[in-house]
Amino acid sequence: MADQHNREIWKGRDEPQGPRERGKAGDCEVIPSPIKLKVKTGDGPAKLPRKKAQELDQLIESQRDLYLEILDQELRELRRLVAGIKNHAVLTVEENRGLFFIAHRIRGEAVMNGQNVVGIIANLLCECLDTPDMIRGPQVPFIALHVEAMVASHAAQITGETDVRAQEIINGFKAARAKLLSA
Amino acid sequence: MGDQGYDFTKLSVLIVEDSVYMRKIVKMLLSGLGFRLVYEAEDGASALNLINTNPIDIVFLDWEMPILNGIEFVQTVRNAPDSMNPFVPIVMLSAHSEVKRIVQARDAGVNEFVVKPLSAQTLYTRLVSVIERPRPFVRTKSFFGPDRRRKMPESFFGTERRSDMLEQLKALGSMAMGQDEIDGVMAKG
Repeated sequence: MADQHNREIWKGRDEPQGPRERGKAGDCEVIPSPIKLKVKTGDGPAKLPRKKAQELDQLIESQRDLYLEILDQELRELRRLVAGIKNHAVLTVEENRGLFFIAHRIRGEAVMNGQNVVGIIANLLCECLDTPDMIRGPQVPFIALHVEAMVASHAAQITGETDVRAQEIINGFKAARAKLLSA
Repeated sequence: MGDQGYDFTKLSVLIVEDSVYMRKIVKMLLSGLGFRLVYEAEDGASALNLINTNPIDIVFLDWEMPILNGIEFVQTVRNAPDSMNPFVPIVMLSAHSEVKRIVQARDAGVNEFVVKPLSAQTLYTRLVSVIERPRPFVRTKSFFGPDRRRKMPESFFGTERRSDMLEQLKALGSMAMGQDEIDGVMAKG
């Protein structure tokens, strides 16, 4: 279908210069986008007015209870997956994939719902699942540490603000993580 | 948006997201902005069917999905001989923030990349970007998609300040990119 649109070969002052801009084949065809959304929308401000942004962000907040139920289910599922791993030394591709899928979702959604500590630990878990070579010792205890730290943070309702319980959990998590990484 | 802003009522949008929660949030935000034509798909394969049978103006797309993931969806929309909408603006919404992932998305043909967590303001600024600054497309032997040589956006969306405690946790991890840095990668060839 792209061929049905009018095309223009790039000419003039901004013509691609040098082999890199011309592409590997030596040709770089530049096609003005036929998509003209502005015709339908008209003009608008570059940024959302503050009042409207607050109103919409409140819509996100209104779904917090729903999210916390989902997070409960996801943390239970992570625990179930960890418990089902047979070889504690190294994960299979399928095991890694199953854990990553849930942790990745949590890291994207937890912070939107005030679960900042859970979100950041989920991000750390994703990093080590994405790069399993960073774990020098057996992989499962390292992964289980992250899952249990998320469960503890969620159970203690830690939102990321300065909090004595939060600091205790994080200090314990950091110490255990450092120990496992240096094993 | 109302009398003083964009009229989104005539735009049709497709949300491709396997998370029921996230799909609901994006739909609520878009409806709040005035969108009326909102299609939804929970995986890339269903989304392909929708985009080839409906006049979709913008796609909001997750990365990690079953059956056909976000990258495979973009590559199919941009390059398949039977694609009905190869120029459609695609905004990826993902928790991936690593450099290699952003570059992969850009090179697949994604127009804009929004790193989760999502806010109303972030979503809106990406809408403004695809409306106000439609990028020309480039075709070479190895690539078809939005011109990756676009300059850095004029606007700066700011960085979130976090508490010291969160900084401690973040410091344990490897390099991840903020939204403004991602905008830079998306723009450079």
